[in-house]
Amino acid sequence: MPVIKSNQFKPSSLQALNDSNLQLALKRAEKGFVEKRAKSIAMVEDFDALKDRAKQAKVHSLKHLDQLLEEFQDKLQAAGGEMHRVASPAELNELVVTLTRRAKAKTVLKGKSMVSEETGLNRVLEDQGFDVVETDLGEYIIQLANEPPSHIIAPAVHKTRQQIESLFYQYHNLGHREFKDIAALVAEARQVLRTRFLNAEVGITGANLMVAETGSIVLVTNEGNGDLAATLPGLHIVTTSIEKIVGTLEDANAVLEVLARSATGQALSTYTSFFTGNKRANDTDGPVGFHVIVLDNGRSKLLGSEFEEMLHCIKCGACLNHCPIYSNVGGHSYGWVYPGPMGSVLTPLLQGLKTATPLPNASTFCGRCEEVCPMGIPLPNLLRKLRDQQHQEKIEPRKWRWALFGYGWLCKNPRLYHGFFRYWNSIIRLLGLIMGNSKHQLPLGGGRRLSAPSQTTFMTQWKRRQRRTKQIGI
Amino acid sequence: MEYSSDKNNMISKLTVNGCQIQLVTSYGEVVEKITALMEAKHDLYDLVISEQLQPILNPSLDSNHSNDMPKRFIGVSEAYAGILDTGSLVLLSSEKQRTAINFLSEIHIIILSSQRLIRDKNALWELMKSEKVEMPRAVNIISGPSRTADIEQTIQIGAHGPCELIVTLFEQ
Repeated sequence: MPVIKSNQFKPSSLQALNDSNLQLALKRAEKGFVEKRAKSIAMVEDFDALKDRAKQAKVHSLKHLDQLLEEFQDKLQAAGGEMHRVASPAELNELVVTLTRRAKAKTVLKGKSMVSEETGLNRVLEDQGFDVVETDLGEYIIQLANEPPSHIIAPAVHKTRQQIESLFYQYHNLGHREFKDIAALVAEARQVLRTRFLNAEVGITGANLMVAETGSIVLVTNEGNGDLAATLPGLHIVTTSIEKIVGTLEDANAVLEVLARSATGQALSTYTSFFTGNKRANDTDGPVGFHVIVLDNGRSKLLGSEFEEMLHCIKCGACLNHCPIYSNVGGHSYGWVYPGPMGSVLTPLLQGLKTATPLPNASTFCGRCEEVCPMGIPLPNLLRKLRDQQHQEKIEPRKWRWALFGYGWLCKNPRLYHGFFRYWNSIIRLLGLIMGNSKHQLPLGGGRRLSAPSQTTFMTQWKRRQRRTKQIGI
Repeated sequence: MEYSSDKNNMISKLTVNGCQIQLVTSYGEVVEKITALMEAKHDLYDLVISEQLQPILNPSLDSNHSNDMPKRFIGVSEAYAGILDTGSLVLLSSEKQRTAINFLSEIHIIILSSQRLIRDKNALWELMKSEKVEMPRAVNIISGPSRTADIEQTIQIGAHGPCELIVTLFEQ
């Protein structure tokens, strides 16, 4: 499993804020994603109705999760495939190694799979001597750079064109050439990866959905790399997780209706494919082996808990794109696989609050994430619950506990509270004058400043007003 | 009346998705269009026709029959249906339709009968049920040529799959 560095959120963010390349890339991406999504949703008559329908599908599937997974397994088996439920990342990796070895494979093609990022599959396969090639362009770029993805649907969003150019010069042995535009970069990646596609023995992809009634997996891409990885090699392995199951093909469609619109602003991604089992006896192509590995990794313990709604997430990335924190610090600061608001909830839930203490607090609670979430997941509320849990379990920093304790005590003593805040303005002004030569602002370090509040508190103004109305006699 | 509005609707959706559209009324015309395209591309590409269409198109066209795909080729397949609300083409894998053509072609030509237009994705499952088509290994719902926006959020056509998608709308 990849090392979790979520407790380093603060220092990593500071570093990210000072990285000018990253800042440039993030600003560009935020604008693009937000505009595309807004445009696409404006074209739908009633997006809320689509959201409701998609949510219904997920609520139903979580309610009948075990039953649907069994149905999926039966149907898949009937179509010549095999499903494996695994509890831990280590089990998933081991199974993939076994299957790959059994197929006598050397080269493994990867389509994008966040679950395989979660288990650190690439590293394990490489350590076992397999040649692993990521084929989604973004994933390929970060594989060359030896970095984890920084966004769940745009893994290389933190890279500028110049950085990608130098990676290609460094790793593609193609002699002297110049990239006159982005198209030239894409063309070179196409050429280099095409030869890899034609020679691979195993293809590993993720799945956006599993459909119980047919035993199908649904794969959504724009490049077509996932479909090639699912079609050309003799063995197709799918790495996915339990909450991706839905009951029917109609339910799958309901989710697809909101997925691409929220992610890339398309009505439907370029390639939406339903793969069911092995190639049929007389089919001209397709794999002869098809395995779907379904990971739990702490998800089933969320069922029936106050955090169950997090399992509705369809990994569209809309909450990342609309988050003021993510847009400033980028994905790597979050220290694990899933960044942004969904990551700030999921990481502590799957990895433990102790290893991701800063994440529930990496939010301004502006509420945009909940607003744009196609499944209506109450992300701010879930973050709030995690904060509460941190407090109950006493794992937040001592400084915070003391400050909260002090504030709580003050709130419970109204007279002291009002007395204190009557002088709050004077305190700030005085400290400001002493520490920063300004009676309007108090420097807090790190470039942040606390502005002096209004000279009179709300309560003082309210009382004064009431007295005045009484005097006038209204 | 409804039929012609469906057709126009499909054409406009396909255009938005970046497809080129050809209208034909006979297979003879299909052959002509393919020949013209090969010439326009200076015969740089091989031709791969899906097994389903070979008996109809092959006698007039010289296409590649081997099991190995040529390096650069124009692929020709037939759509099972066209989806109106998203401007998408449905391709089903079978003993006569090779999935790899959909993704390895440099230029992909998809023949779509104008009588096979359906409302949305749910209508696809209904149609398959009513025609007793079993779920094949692959149902590919394709909405335009291959694309990526992984470099600086700039949309580029021709990532791994076809760089051009030509829809030949066949009117019977």
